[in-house]
Amino acid sequence: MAVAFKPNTKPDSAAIAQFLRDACAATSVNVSELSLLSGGAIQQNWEISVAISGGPRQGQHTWVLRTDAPATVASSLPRAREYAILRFAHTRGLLAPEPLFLCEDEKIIGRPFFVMEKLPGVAAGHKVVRLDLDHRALARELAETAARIHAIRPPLAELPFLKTFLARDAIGAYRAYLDTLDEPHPVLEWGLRWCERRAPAQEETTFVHRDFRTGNYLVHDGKLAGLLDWEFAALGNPLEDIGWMCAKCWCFRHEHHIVGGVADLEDFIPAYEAASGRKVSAEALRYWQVMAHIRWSIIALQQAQRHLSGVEPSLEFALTGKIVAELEWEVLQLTEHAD
Amino acid sequence: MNDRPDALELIRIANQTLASEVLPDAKHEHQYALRMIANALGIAARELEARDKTAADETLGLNTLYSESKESGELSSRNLQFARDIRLGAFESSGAREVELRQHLVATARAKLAAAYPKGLASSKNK
Repeated sequence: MAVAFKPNTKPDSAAIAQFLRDACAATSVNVSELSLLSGGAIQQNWEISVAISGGPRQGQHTWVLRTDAPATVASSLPRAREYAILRFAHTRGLLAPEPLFLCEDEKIIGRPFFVMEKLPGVAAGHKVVRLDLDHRALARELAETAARIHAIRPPLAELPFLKTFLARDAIGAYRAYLDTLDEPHPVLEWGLRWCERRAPAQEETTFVHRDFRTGNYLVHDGKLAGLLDWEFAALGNPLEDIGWMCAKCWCFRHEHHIVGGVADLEDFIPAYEAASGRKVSAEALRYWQVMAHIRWSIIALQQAQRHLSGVEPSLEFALTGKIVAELEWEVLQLTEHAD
Repeated sequence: MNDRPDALELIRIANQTLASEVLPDAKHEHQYALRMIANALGIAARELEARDKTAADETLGLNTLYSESKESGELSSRNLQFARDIRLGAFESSGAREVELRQHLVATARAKLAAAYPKGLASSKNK
């Protein structure tokens, strides 16, 4: 039976220390300074200071402990899968932090978790969009990173569990979720129908991050320093990542820079085309921008349900449900003259 | 029947008090939660204020789309059927039907956004 795990309750540092002592073959380990890092409604990231005596990791380390937020279904598999994806992405040079230790034993802190290196930089979206930096250079780095991710094609023997999400798969999944709700969402249904009628006849399938946006990458000294939150990674249409990055809903109110609130399309799309050898038409970009707003709507509805179900009463989750109004409006705006 | 102040009046004065007496001197660690509370109260007030008109407009819009002269059932169950019909492509028989559908959706979305995030209307084309 899992140990009860309350929202924002710090994991037990002594239990983590004991786990790390065994994992590092150390003589003693002290864990201090657990602080919750920003973001992470679905997962929580705790910064930990670790002092290790003995063994190959002897010394002082600052690491990140990642675990499920309280309301997610208790299962060790997603953490283990994310760990495998992180290992894969790190090895392939995709700016992912190096995963260090995986703990699937729920008895240690009440949830499965893993420990990874802490990359330097700022990730919080509302801070990143206010940074004084070379926007074109950052856009180019983001474009080149996306192109490197999308150069990886299936089959991926290391990640046999990855699902494939092409346009029609996504439409089917979002409709299936809407069918579980009691309340109707005509605008989202309309947006999904719009996407269904215009779904590409053929789609390229590559490795995709599926949460490639401002808020999920690190900027350090004005440069792209890391790409985080790989738990949605899958096989899919590479342009989904591009549409997600260029969606108004991920601009953190800096919509004058439609590329994640940090850059303009002219700085990002040509750089991606050059790095990937892939053409991104205005129609395709718009299609995946529409899909991005629908997908975020579905996630926002799921967050609202965490509150409404009574599992995790939270004003933040309740208000996330109210974001859907903006997202639906943007779906209608984007499609206004699209035919 | 309850005495005045009614629900809307209470929410408004609660939010005003929060903004004028609590937020300015609130500790940094409480500011995020207090801003969320103010936002929630604002949305609740705007939804309550517009509720009757929004429902009436939406009903009228559905009546036009379905060529019905009067209400036929609860708005929520009508909207459930409406959503199912959209998925099945029920309004795609002609360009004119599609325009009608879109106009209704824009009107309902505008009303929803006016309550949830009025600033979102100010910055958009579809005013």
